[in-house]
Amino acid sequence: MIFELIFMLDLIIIGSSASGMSAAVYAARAELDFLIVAKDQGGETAEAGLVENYLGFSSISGMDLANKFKDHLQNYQPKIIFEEVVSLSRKGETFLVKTAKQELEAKTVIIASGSVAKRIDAKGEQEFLNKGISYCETCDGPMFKNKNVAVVGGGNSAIKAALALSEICKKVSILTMESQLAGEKLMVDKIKAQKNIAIIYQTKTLEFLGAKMLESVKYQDLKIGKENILPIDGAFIYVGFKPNTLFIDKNLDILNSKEEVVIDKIGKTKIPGLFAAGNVVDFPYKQISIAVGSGTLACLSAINYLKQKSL
Amino acid sequence: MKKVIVYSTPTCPYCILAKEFFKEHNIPFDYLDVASDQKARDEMIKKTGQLGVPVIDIEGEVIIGFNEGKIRELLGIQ
Repeated sequence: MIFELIFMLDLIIIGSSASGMSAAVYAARAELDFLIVAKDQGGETAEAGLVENYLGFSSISGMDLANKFKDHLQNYQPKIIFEEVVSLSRKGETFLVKTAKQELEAKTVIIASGSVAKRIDAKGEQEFLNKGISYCETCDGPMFKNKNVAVVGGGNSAIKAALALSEICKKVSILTMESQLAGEKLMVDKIKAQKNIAIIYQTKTLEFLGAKMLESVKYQDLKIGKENILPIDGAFIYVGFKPNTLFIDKNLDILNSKEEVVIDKIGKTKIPGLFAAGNVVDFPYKQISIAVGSGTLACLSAINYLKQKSL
Repeated sequence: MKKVIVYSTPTCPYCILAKEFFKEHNIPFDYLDVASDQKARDEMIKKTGQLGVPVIDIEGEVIIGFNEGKIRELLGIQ
């Protein structure tokens, strides 16, 4: 065990992406006894590709932005345990956070565990994961230089990925269920101007096919019901994210039907002492700037809660 | 000192995190770009059967993804 629990922690922050790191800065400055427990630092911010809408930075890679957050936080030398949280539960008025290796207890917890890429549950999706199928263009895009790829999805993330891939790949085919792309107008216009991007509207992706590696994708034209096969070397799936909340004890009953953590305006769940921030919560918009702000709110609420408890 | 090989692509954020981690802890490592180096790519596929990066080989113990906890454990870093 890395940390012997000889006193109750004031706070555990689960997750170390934008919201977790934002909360941690405030926790450190309030001189709370706290820990961050996270698989890694950076999370979705690091994977975001080019970020052009975060205030203060006209254009910055998600990785560089995550590093700036990390460097700022590092000034306070926070304690971080690099393990995955497998369980969060309540113990009277305190909380237990478990990883595979240890159990930690704290008076307050901030859930900042973010989200994970949604699957489309098409046949072959799991079989060809990392064998042609990827959920991260920044990670795997360069592997498909001069090749033909598909991007499944039609929102901002899909559009950004398609644009980035069009710089590397021979051809990019966007497969979207909708009749138009749903991203920022600026980005949609760029896509339409790009010669090696084809947009195939109103399609349902049915199956990924190949021998050892991905070779093609079967999709249905929803307008006429016909099935088509598109030869591809890679497929990047961007159909949204689902909150990372499987580790939360169901008895806490803090999730909505989308498995997001329900919070009030200042980051409080309905359980006293339990807070949440970032993409894991029930905000309709998932943006880095919102995550940073919500991390701040959640931590200020946690600090206030601890003050009230000590009175 | 255990031999460390990182199979990576130039834009992969977790590959960069891995590189920074090894530099921060003064651990020598080979950093192979599987996007441009076919031999490295074939080697990575042979070791893991897949294309996801980073792949980190620590003296024959292969980790897919930047699993900092596991890396620290294998290298004896607190």
